[in-house]
Amino acid sequence: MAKLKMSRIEILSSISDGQSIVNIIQRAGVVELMKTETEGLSYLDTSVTTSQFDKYLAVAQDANKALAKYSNTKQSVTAMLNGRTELTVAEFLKRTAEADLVLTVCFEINKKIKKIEDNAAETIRCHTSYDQIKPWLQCDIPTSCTRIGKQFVFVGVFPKEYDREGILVELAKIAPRAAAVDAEVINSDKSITRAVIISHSCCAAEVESALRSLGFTRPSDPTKHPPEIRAKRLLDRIVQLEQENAEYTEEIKALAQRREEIKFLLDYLNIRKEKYKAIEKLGMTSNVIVITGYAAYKDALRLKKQIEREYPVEFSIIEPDRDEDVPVKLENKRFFSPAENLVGMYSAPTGGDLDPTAFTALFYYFFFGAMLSDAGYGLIMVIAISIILKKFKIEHKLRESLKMFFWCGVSTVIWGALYGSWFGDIINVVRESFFGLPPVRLYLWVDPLNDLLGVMVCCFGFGLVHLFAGYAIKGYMLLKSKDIFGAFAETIPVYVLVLGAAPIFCGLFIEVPEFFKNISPYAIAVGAILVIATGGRESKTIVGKIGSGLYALYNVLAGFLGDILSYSRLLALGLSTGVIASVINMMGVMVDNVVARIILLSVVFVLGHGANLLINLIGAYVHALRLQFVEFFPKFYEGGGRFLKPLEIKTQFFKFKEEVLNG
Amino acid sequence: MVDLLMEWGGTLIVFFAAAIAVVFPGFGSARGVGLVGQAAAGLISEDPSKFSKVLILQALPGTQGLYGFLTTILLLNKTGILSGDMAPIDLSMGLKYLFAVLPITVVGYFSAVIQAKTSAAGVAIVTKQPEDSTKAIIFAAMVETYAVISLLSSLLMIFSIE
Repeated sequence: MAKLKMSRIEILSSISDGQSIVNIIQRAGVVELMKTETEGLSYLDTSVTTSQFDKYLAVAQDANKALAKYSNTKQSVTAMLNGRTELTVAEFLKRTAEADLVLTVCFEINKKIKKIEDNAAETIRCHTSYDQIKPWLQCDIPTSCTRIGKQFVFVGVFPKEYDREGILVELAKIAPRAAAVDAEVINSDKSITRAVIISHSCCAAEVESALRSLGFTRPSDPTKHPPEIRAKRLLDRIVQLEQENAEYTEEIKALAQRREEIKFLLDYLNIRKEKYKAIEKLGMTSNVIVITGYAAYKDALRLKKQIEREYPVEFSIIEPDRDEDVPVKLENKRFFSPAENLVGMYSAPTGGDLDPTAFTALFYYFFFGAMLSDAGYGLIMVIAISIILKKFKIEHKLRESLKMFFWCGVSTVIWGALYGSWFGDIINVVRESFFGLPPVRLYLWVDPLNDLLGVMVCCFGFGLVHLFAGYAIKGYMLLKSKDIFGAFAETIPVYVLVLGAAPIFCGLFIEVPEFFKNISPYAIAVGAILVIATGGRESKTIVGKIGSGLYALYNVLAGFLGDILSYSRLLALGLSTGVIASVINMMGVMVDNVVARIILLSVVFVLGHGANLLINLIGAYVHALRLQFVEFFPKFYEGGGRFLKPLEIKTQFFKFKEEVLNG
Repeated sequence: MVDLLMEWGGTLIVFFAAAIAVVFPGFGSARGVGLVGQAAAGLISEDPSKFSKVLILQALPGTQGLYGFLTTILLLNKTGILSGDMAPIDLSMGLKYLFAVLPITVVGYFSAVIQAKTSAAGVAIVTKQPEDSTKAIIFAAMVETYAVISLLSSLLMIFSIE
């Protein structure tokens, strides 16, 4: 439960050892390097190299994608869950030696892909051309033909439907003197007529102008040979292109076994890119290299030992100044650590903040369970996640998330048992409809439907604990920074006021013992005075103090009321799971025939509860989170810090055995 | 006619109340889920890997429909209609039930649509800042508070009718 103590590290080493030391740092993965811009030091510009790596990465990525596409190997869920393949350092070194070779394979694959794509595009072009030439297939002369001997030939289209007679009649109308004309219709439909007109050279000019006035045009892409020949050429080309593509595809498929190597190349290039990006941050003189960065103190100590053992370096661990922008690193016990993700979603803690992970975890599990609140659903979560965690080697964030949902599931089982909801009321439904037995009591604490108000007040009570915990943490932080009065002012007045008002507030819903009702006004008065007295402690003048004190009182009252009411969602979402689950069960036993009822119930049970679980999982996830972010954190948590982003081996497919040891 | 109305009017009103409690929030949720779905589809056409994130955003305005359904079920259960041992409900009692479902009926509808707009805007966050997508979810969840409050008000009213 803590933010780790951070320190700045400075390593001085000879230039010749620099590379190896950076390698060690990268493999340790605990140091965030920083550029110091110290005078007298020079810095390398590695942008050219890193952009080169980017280029290679793109090539390898394309090749990897292509292999996935053409070899039809879909990544199985099992493989995905199993995470990265382990490699020993020796294996890693052996594979790096082959990296250049693999890169050429990638280039080769990409070249083939490019060809496949080009061919595909050409195929489409061929098809388009073929579609254009197809109507001319009956024409046995080239469509570009203009003369045969002394005859003038016009090949082209009319924007209208004609038959041979029609064309000749129209021509005779416009050019009555052109007698030596003949026409042949190749084909025609409503809007177009393809035809060949032949005229003797003596009246060619007349015929041509007549044709023009009829809207006759020559084809836009005339053929030198009869259209049939072009059509055949196109078809042949299409076949050839398809054949070529099939060959290329086969060739790529044959390279599929190299996919693993390409994946390795991707990782390897990424590692190197990260390293070169890091090298930019190193200061150097002609002989000495200066590495500066942040690391958790204990990691720094371990790293110091490791590096000093192998290289003659000057390794100093420095306490950072107060005004430095130091990144944070959290470390929590296994039960709490999954909530680090939740804190990260909000904001990393700053220097003054306490790590809220442990509190967040406790309350998150608790509220999640209250909202999902069905022991059956909880059991499904617990069992499914246990199996997944046991069977697969899931890594990092996903593992943490699953662990979080595991504990949420445990909490859900407990809440479900308290509320008596096991897949809704399935036990009683089965008892009643199959065996005719009377219902039994399932709940350990209360059936929320029988005591809505009681449960609601309890939910407000949980909210009160949550909010008070927030104030308490704030008080503790002030206490730690030696502001004893501040710690008092942030907690006690609010506690007295709110606890004083609680009996009256609760009295609206449930019976409250007279004693509490009687002392309530006094407590409110004392609390209000305390809040007014302490709320303005930062103002300088008396008027300011009273003014801000009153404002603080208003804030506490209005804010608390809103915050507390917000916890009614614990009841509302809890109810909605249970009631809808019961409705599902009810639908399952709606038929009279016993066999049909068993079948119907099984189907409805699986589908209905599956859907209900999913919807309510989302609801519980979101609203439990909201109670942390909106109600809890503002009481004490500043946020706005940043997490340590160490130089590390960021890989997608492979990992080192060493890493396993580190954690 | 008057006798008939006096005898059955209450029951009819309860049925009417049960119907609107599920119709309006359901309609609002359907509109809302559809609206976010359209925004989400735009993103998914560019980047299918963000599916799970936008799916949550899409599901958020869907809860109001469930709240309406929950209200209807509890109303039918309270009045004995669901279990079949329905006692006659007089007119004034029927009206009480009608008023009791109004909060979730009205707020359920509007909050679903408004929440959907917030969610749809949140899709833009998922597009541009995928790591901050939880914040989009929280923004949308803020709207839902009022649906939750109206649901509870409706339930409290239903259960307070003797």
